[in-house]
Amino acid sequence: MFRRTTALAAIAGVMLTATLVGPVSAAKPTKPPVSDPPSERPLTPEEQAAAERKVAASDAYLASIEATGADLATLSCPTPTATGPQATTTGTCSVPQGYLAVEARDQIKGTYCGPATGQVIANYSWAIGPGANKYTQGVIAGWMKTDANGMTNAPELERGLELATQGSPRRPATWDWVIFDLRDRDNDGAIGDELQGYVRSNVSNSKMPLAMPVKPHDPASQYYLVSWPKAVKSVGHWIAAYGWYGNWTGTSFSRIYYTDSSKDEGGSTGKFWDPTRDIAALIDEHTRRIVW
Amino acid sequence: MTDRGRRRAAIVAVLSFGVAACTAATPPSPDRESRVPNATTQPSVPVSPSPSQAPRTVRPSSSRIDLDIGQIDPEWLWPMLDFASDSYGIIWSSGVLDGPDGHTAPDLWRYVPGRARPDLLWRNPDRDRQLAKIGGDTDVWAFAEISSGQEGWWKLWLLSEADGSLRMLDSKAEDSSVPSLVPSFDVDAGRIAWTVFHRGAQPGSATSQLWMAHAPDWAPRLLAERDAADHALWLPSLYGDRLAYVEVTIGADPSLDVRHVMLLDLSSPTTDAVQLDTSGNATMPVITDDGVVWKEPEVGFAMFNWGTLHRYAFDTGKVSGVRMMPQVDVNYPSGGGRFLAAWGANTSVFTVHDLHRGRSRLIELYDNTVDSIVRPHLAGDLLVWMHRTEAGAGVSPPAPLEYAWLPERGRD
Repeated sequence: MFRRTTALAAIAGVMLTATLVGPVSAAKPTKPPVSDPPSERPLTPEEQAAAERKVAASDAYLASIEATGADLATLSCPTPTATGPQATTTGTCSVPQGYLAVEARDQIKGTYCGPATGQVIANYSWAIGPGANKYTQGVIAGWMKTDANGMTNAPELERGLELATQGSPRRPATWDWVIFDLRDRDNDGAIGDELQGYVRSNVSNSKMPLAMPVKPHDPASQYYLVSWPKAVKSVGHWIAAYGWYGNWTGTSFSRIYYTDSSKDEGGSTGKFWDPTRDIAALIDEHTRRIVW
Repeated sequence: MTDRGRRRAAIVAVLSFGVAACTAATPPSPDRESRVPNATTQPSVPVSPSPSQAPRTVRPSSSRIDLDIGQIDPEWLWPMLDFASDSYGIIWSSGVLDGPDGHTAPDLWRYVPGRARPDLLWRNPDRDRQLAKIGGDTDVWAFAEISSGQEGWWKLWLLSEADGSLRMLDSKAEDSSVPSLVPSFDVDAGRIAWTVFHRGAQPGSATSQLWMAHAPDWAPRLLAERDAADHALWLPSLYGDRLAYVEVTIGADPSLDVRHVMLLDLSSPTTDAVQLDTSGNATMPVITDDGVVWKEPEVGFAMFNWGTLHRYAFDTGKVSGVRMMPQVDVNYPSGGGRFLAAWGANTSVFTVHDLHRGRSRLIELYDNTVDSIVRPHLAGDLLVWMHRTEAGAGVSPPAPLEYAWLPERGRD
């Protein structure tokens, strides 16, 4: 039985109505928190080299797509600009897109977003049937040192993904999970274009999901995942990206599809999509390290 | 200067202008004023926060709706969590009182268009708290208070201007056997309906409940209850003699959940709730004058994901699609009598749906990659939204809230 209390007396002193409140001149402009990414250990030279190799491979794939014109929407599509229709796929219009067949998983502990993301990716990589799991989250958490650290850092998540997908049928023969510090490589003032390219390359070329770290719904942020209606001062959160839609235009047009595992942690569990621009902002607010 | 640079400069100029010589948005009409017995009409004094005319790109359009757009300066807002229209004013949860160090949103604020400055409705004595969800109607407000940390408790409070009281309607202690999801609720005309998860009768079990209370005593009344192991009641919408809500049958996988929008006739307490949709994929209902609108995500996606709008008409009993052109996917619909608002996935175009005329009405169109309109909320005729300036990389500047009165029937 829950409690229903009328808390008039205790609160009366602090409830200020329109007639009681004075000028709130003490309120000063608040600045958004500008902080460096949370500290994880720096990448080793070997890890950096591996990441750059993957980026180079991704660039090559995207360039080959561009060269063939395969990344263009069909002529009957409205131009995906700020003013054009959003995500229209009616008639003969075809917006470039790609998805993998994943199933969302609910994380079994508050700190298990990393293992839950690993479970989603492992189940896909092993082509596990609906409702089943290749590994328990506990096993994956052990590989990712989640309990030991009270969280899952990117290097440990990468290690866990290596172990969880090793020998699996959908993992490409030459596959290597890498950690990459997302950055504005083309100096256009945005990282969403790079992010959309990495997701596209992973999903459509390598046929593998990605793990992304975000601040899902920080109270000080203007962005949040639609999967997180409730704000939480989170140390960070992992989601599994499994799809992409549209080419980057700098607007809210292009999307990233993801699974979330956070039903009991302030978010929700299931499949979602959000504008790439928003997800890039949420990664930018966190470690900026993707694992792919 | 880049487009983004020009745009930022324009915003700064507008804000500066607002401080010096702004004009208030359309003041409340006399009939709105009369709905708030305790509200006082104040002259529009041009001091910060400054309702100001937002810059706009005017394009000829037969569907365009011309509005006087006011703006609430970000310095009154951030850190801000939730915001909403209460049909007479704009409310938001914020930690602005804590100055630059504030990173939580423990207080409830309100701004009535036309007034000189916002009012602090409730100052939270505990600064390490968040008002995760807020809502209200004219002179009654409710909010769900949570810890700013990872604790799983919540409290649902009701604040009434009429008797100056603050009541705790419901609460949940930290309990790992019960979902920690905060209550969803709706306030309308001296009543509130809410849904919650609580501990069930059996050890380790949980129950999903739909409650209602009304003035003057606000005594909670249980309307419906389900075993939370396989059902969930969500997202009530209250309007007139009707209450809509979502009933979810939980599937083995989240993609297999079945969600129905149910409608209760409050004037006939013995009547069972009626299922309005046939899709089993309906969520976020909003009751309007002549029907119920809800959102349907794509099949296989979770209920909070983007989706399309559908409407059940009271007079015909038929369900039809509602397009908020040119949006295809929207989220969080809200509505008053005549108009519907929703957060469009295409944040460069801002439209509302005119239920009276049966078509979408364009408020703003931004032909750039900088301006984004997000999280619009409509109650009565008062619409509020966040006007975000996209930084691309790095931290975006704090966004203002903007607001406007939508026209009543026959006024446009």
